Amino acid sequence: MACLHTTAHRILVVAAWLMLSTAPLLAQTPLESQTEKPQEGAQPAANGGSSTAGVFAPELDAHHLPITQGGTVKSGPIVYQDMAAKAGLTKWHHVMGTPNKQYILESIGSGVGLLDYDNDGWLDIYLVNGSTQAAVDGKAMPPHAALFHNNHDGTFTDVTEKAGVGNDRWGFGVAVGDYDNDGWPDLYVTNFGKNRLYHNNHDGTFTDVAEKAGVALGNWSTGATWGDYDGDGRLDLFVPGYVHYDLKSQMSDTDALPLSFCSYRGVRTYCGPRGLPGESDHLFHNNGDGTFTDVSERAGVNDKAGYYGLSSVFIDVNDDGRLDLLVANDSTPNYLYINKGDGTFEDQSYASGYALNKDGRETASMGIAVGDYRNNGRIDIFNTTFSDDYKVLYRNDGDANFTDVSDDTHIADITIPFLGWGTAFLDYDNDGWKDLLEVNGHVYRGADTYNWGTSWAERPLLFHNIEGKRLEPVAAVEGTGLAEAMASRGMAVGDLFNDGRMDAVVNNMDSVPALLVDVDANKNHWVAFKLVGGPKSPRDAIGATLWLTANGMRQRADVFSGGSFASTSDMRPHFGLGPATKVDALEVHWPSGAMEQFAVPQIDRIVTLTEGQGRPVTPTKP
Amino acid sequence: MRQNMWRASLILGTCFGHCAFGMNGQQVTMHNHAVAPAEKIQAIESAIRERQYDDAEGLASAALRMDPNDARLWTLEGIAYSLSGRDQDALAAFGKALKISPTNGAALRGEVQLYYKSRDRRATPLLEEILKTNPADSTAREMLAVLEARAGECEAADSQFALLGTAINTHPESLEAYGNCLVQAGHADQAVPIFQRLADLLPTAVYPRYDLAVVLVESRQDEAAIKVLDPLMAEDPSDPDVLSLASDAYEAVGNTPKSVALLRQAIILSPMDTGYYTSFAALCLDHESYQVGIDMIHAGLQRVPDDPSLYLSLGLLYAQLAKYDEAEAAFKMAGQLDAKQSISSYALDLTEIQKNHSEETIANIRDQLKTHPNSALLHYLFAKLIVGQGTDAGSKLSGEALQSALLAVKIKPDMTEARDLLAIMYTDRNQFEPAMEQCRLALQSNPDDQTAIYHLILGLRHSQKPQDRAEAATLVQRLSQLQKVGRQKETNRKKFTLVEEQPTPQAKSN
Repeated sequence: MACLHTTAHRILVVAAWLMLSTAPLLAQTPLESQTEKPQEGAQPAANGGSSTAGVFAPELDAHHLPITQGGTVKSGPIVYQDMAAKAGLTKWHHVMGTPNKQYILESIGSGVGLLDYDNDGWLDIYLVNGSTQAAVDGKAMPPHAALFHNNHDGTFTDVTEKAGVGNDRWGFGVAVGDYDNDGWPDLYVTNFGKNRLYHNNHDGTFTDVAEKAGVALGNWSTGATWGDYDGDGRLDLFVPGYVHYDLKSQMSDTDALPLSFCSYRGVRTYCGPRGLPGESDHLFHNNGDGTFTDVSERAGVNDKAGYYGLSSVFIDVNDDGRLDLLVANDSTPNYLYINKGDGTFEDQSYASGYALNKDGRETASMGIAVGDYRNNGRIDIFNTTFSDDYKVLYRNDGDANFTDVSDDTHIADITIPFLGWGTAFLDYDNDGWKDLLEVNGHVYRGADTYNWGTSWAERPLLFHNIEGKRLEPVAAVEGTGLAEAMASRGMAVGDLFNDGRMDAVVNNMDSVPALLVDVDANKNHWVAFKLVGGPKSPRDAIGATLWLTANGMRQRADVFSGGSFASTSDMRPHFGLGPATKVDALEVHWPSGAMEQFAVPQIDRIVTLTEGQGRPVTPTKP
Repeated sequence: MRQNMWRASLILGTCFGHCAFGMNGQQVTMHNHAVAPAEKIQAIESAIRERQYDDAEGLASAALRMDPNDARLWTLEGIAYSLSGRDQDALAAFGKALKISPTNGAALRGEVQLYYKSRDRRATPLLEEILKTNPADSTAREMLAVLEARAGECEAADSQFALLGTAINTHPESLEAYGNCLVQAGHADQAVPIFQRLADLLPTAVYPRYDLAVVLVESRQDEAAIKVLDPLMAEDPSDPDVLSLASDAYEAVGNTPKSVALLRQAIILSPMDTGYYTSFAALCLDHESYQVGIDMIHAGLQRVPDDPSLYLSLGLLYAQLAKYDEAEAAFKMAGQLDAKQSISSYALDLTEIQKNHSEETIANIRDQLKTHPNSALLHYLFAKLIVGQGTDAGSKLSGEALQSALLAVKIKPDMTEARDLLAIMYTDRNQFEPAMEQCRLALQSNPDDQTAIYHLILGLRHSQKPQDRAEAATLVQRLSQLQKVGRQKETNRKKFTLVEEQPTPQAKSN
């Protein structure tokens, strides 16, 4: 069914101006009324503090539940099961402010990082926590983040205290990266307040070195990303800023002043982000001695406009071998910075088509998924956005030209009622085509009170990729992970159990996390790779691109940190092989610029690839 | 007094002593016609000079009985009739004179003057004839310009007024006509100095200053408009039009409380004028104060229960609250009250789509287009719906959508939304040249159309021409700037929401 919410509202906005624009007439000679002339430009007004496409009629299921919460089916193929409780993850609880969400600071939520912190070959989980005013004031114990060690048996153990990564600050994001190339992943945790750089001590513990390293900042940081933008073999760090926030002058949903930026569909809500000052972004160059230098301004990525950055990712979108930079901005245009190769970036946000959606409208972008969903060798981008708006799929047409194909891929209408956060391309059924997962949850508690057609807790959306042409929603079967309504925020995907299945860990606002285990019944084959870079590439090979040929297809996967919403997924590129039982070719483009071919003698396993151990190939543009 | 007409003496002057001459002073060949004796002519002229029009008419009639083919006598008779207020007789007399001597300047001017006085379009070809012979006749040009302005031919009128330059600076009617035409042609900014002159010329009159304020608001010179409007409101605080206009200006400069207060006052002063209610609704939409707007519209409906514009406003406000059943009822009522308007059908279609009834809506629009084949909005909506369905660009349905969008802009060339849609459709087909053409046309109508700029940038990016890349870079800067300004304006605008502070006017029981 085509719902066409977007279309309708888009036109409704025009209609509003048509019908209600009452331009004064001159006193003596009445002008002919211009009944059918649109009176306003292309930009519909934002809805309250966030940019949306407008207001849409509630879509309810047979049980009169909003489609974001309901819309489930009784039976069907089961793809994901939430095994968080069984895995021991639900002993930990996320807390951010008060349940009423009077302030924007309480509503954004936190990310997830997947990393193998102890190098035992199994992914562990880091869950960022928020905080409370009482904790900030020193009147209560602060909530703490959690590091869960993978026990290799489907369960996890909370090792936070021993590891020393509790953060105890108002946390938002986590980016994983081995910034000192010692072979052990480190953690950068973003906060409202000072950020943490947890250096991995190789013994199951970490030490916060953010101040010493010069990357602590101090206001509101969000979804950071690691990447070697200047090709010196060391990971640099980009940290987006959201709102420049002051706890002492917060605008709440009960303040007397009736500000329009503090409402949604005419109902009073917390204020922002529109109407609040933006916090600038920062790029830190890795000096190689444990310190970093803020080069944001020189590099041209300092966010002079003060947009509301929520997520970012270093990724090569124009296939020139250099890491470009994407920033998802809330209710302001997104950034796409093209790496010029001289330590600076060119702002190609508008020119590339990524800044805005098809209507030329900025969106409330929350999370970013990057991946080659068409298997044509180009990185496409998916952005999650606010409810009352479609989520935007940008097709890469080459040379950093992006086209919004949300309508064409049939992904637009179904996503409108959902407020999307964490997202990732992943091949859940190992058929060789990257599918798309998005987790959702509203920011306004009123979502459950008013008939907005949305809800505080929302079910995830999984789209099955039909050969790169269409993204088809996978039915949410009752009692399974896809039917579970959660107030989700951060999400990281990865093969937690080394079984070739792409699982997802979800950090839920004021709640317990979800562990969506991939239980799809397919019998397809797979292969994944752990990359070891060096000496001229970062050790964890962030920025590497893999080209795998099998089953008559050539697939691309990239090693990256960050993206989704304020999260870092499994950095081991994973390929579904379908029925193929062998890999025909594998080529790795290392961050250093080296290109190598590797033989993959065995599949259905994780293979380690070390730079310099493959067969060098002559550089040719894919 | 109409300054943009020939004075009677000027017309007479062309006749007195020269009635045998054409407009250019060239000798008119009259040998085919009998010529009245000079003394008869002089006697009639004397009577006219002495304002003895009855005598002049008598003398002329008597002379014409003797010399019925003397154009001068018919002309003098026409002048006498004209000056004594017998316009029809005068026209008949001038007509006869011109039949005998088609280039008789005095008769021509006399006839034009009468036509002009009665706003008769027959003056136009005569004035054009005069100007053909004498392009420097500024009076003729001014009359022609005013006539064209009155006829709504503003492009032609503006050209004539522009040629006149300062010649109209002391002619209020011409200034007003010129100003109005500039506004109608979408050049409110150019109309500002015209209305400023008019206001200077008639300093005690209200309407020139009001008009000046209107064009200042239209051209977004709101602070200047307020400087004009504040004294007007001080002089007469009970003019609802002035209050409403001031409300617009104050809203534009970010003073929403004042804007709301003024508009409320306008409604109280003129509670039967539905325009003020719909203006209030627009204000409420801007400030997301939908319920306040709904309450005000209901107050309006109590007084003017059968006004379709109020129902349209009501529907839109309900739609913003996603109360689509109420919105639909309101749109239906608007449609019933004014069935000729396609806009009600359009609004109804929208509510159906919002309620996820898009398939039915497409079918409905096909039917509605049979009733309203020239509705640009319906054609646009039809195309937009099909595009929104993700229809394959090569399909028959998509082709139908393209044709519909093209029809929309054919019917309404300044419909930027339809041009933006066409740009999207062509881009989807990888036809960047026509896409860019539509963007450029949209930008002609609205230079700030961000969608058009955005898609033009995308089109230019696909070009290999260096100049196109350079243009794209320039447009990126422009778009970025527009967005920045837009955000700032929005921030200013959204500092306020509307709240119920005083009761809306209650309907009196009749």
